[in-house]
Amino acid sequence: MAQRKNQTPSKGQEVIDKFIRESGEDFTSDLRNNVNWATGEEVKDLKKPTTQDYFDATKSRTTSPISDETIIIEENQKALNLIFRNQLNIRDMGNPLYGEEDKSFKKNLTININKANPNENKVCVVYGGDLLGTEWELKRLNNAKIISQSTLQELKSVATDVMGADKVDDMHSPTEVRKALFFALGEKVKVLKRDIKFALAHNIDVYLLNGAQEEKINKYFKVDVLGTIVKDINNPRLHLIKGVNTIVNVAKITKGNNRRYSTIGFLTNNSLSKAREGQQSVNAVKLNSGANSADVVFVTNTNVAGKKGPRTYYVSGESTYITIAQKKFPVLSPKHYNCFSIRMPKSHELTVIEGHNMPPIYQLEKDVYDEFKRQQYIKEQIKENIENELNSITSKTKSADPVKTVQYFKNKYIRLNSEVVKPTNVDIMPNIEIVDDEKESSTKNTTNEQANLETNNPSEDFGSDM
Amino acid sequence: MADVKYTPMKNNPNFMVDNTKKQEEIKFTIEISKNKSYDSEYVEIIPAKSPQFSNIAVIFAGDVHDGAVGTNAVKDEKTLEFVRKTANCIYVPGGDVFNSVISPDQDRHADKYGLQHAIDKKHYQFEKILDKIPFVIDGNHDGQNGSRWVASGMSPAKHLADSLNITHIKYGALLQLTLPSSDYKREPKTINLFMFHCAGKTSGTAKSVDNTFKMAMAQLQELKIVPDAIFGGHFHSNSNGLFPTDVYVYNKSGKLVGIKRKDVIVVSDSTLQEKSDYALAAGYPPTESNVYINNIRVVKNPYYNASTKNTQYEYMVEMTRIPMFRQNSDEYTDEAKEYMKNYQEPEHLREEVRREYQNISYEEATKKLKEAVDDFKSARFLFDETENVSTQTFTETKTESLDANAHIDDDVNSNDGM
Repeated sequence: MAQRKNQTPSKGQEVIDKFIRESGEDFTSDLRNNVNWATGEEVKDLKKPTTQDYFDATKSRTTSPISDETIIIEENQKALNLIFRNQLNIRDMGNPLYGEEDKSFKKNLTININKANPNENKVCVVYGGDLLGTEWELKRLNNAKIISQSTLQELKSVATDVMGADKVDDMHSPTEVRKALFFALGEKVKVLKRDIKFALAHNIDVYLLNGAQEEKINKYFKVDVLGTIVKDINNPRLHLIKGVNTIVNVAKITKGNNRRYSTIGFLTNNSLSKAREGQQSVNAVKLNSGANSADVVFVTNTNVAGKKGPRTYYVSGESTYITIAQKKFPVLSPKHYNCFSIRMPKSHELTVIEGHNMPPIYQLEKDVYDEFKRQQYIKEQIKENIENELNSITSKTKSADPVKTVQYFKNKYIRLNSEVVKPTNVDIMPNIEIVDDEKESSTKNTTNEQANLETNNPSEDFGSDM
Repeated sequence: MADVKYTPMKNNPNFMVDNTKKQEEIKFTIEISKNKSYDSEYVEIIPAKSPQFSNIAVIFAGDVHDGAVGTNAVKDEKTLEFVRKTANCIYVPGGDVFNSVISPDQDRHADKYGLQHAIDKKHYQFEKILDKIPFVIDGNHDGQNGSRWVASGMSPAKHLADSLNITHIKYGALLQLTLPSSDYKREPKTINLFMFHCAGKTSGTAKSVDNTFKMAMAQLQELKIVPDAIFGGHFHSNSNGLFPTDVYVYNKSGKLVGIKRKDVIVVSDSTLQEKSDYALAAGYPPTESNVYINNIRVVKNPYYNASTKNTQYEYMVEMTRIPMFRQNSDEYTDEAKEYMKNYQEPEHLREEVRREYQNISYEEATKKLKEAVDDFKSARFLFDETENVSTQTFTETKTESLDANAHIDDDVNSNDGM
């Protein structure tokens, strides 16, 4: 930064220097080419722009909605599983990342990736924009709170781990450190890189998209911040999808190296400071981001989550609260609607499963169910057998007492039923006479067991227990 | 009928008055006035259990509009076939099963065939899946309190439910489903699924989900329960949403000791009525109908740990929505076919059993069956880690609701609060 000649650095200059230092040289080198940052002497020498300058500037504004990237699903991969991570708001104090302190967000990501089954499917983590937060601006540094901490506390915690508590108690020289509670762009980018590397460590593809926050950063610093990150990490599995209303081709390789194509749209820049409920957010997206005619559209960085149209899915974010105007009561942002499994039965037809994958099947559960069904069928078959037997006997008997005959078979039936479900006492077999065409026979059962057994109510219908 | 009791009239004791009838009427009126099931938006609680399966497929079939012009009867029949062939499926007719119009000057909801034909058809179709329908819900087209039937005091939906001996729900039902958790512990967990038809008008697809959520929470306010999922129909919107909700936690004395977070899943389901004269007249575009297999299971909450146990539940409901039909087609999706195959009803066993048991004597059959039962019982304990996985003993085990895990202190009882 050019200093005025023969002048000592002022308070404003010190703040600017700190801002530039903490934001990082990669992103601030072009700041000097901004009128806002120039000195009076430099501004005096500036000329007016020409018509050609105007045309060159307007050309850079338009971007094609069709992305250069193509997502390819290999032949041996069943589906494309997308896991979204958007609205990270890294190091924003007003709306922090949910589950960062206890690392549960990492656990959540690992669980999601495992459930998506990278062995069978193409799994991609999509960083859908609004990653770097809003609290990186110079005015935030100007208004930052200054906190003071004793170094003794910090040193003690480190020393205790290394030397042991008894030696640490001898330290008696506290010194005070004062900090500005401000996280510049440099720090945010560092944290984001760590996050992306963690995702890449699972051996899957990662896609980065710009959101409203990245667009603002790019405009302010005149850099492509996500492009810089992709270049620094330099991993072939890391891709950048440019644009905030963009369409990406998806190709599925089938037998014989043929290909089917479909399109997936992403809407990532949605102005939502006042929109709260579902319909307000949907209207805001239509107003600010426009339409997207892909086969399936994913909208990130809104205040809602869920399916809000025939093929439009509003993805949940990772921030703690929804994005609303300041001074409003904070509202929790929805979670667990950020995993989708997409299959392509034919070109431009996508089946979207809202969830990680097809649900798992536990074979033991199925086996247990099949066995109980088998027992049920056996019961039904035996009931049928008994009915047939009864019909056959009663049609043959001439002098058998029908009431007693029915009683006999009913007892037999109840005995069967009780043995299958719960073993109980054996029933009584009454004195009956059964006569058939070929042979007259009578049976009498007078064993001791009968004296202890229950009698059945003759008025009950045969087979009513089934 | 009670005996008539005559008492002398107050003004002239020579005249006798029959007070019995009046007493009976007063008694009847007092009973009715106290009975909450007559109140508007009464919620019925229906306990249910899934002894074997930790994944349950819930198909909320609201707005079939059977008999109406524009209803896709092929998809309706295929949905019922899916339910019949899938072992872990629950099918809930969520209102507007019929399209019936009672007064000629209603909106233009034309019918292909009359109500009686539609009832007979549905009776025939539902008979085959009776074991998978927990209840039938009234809608505005076929319910006693819908605008089309309120003057008559009748309900075609109730008529269908009664003829099949199924529970009839006038407003809303809270299905308290107990199923084993999906982790290795397989502990029985109770989840709350609220199902109703919903009502009113909406200005957009997303608004229908907002309205469904608000109406459901209003109906559940008296019960002080925050459900895990809400299923509604009426709007034909085919949309859903997640609503993070605060659940108040009280200790045994009733003191408020904490607030936990629950993401309530809200589904405003699709319809099978793709085109209608009503929609045409109102300027709505044709709807693409579809049915969704809502696979529900209970999983561990990844955000739950020692530091968040006061604000997060240990277990949560995970719903995977699988479309049953392909786009612009009556064909099943490959995923629906795969699901049906994974959880297929073992109908082939019926024929096997018939071959094995048909021509043997009773004694032999009983002996074989007893051997099979004993064999199964002994084998089961070789594989299971706990004794909870069975049908016979499932109802005896201690079940816990998801909220019961959320204890702040040892003597704290969690309670869903509004």
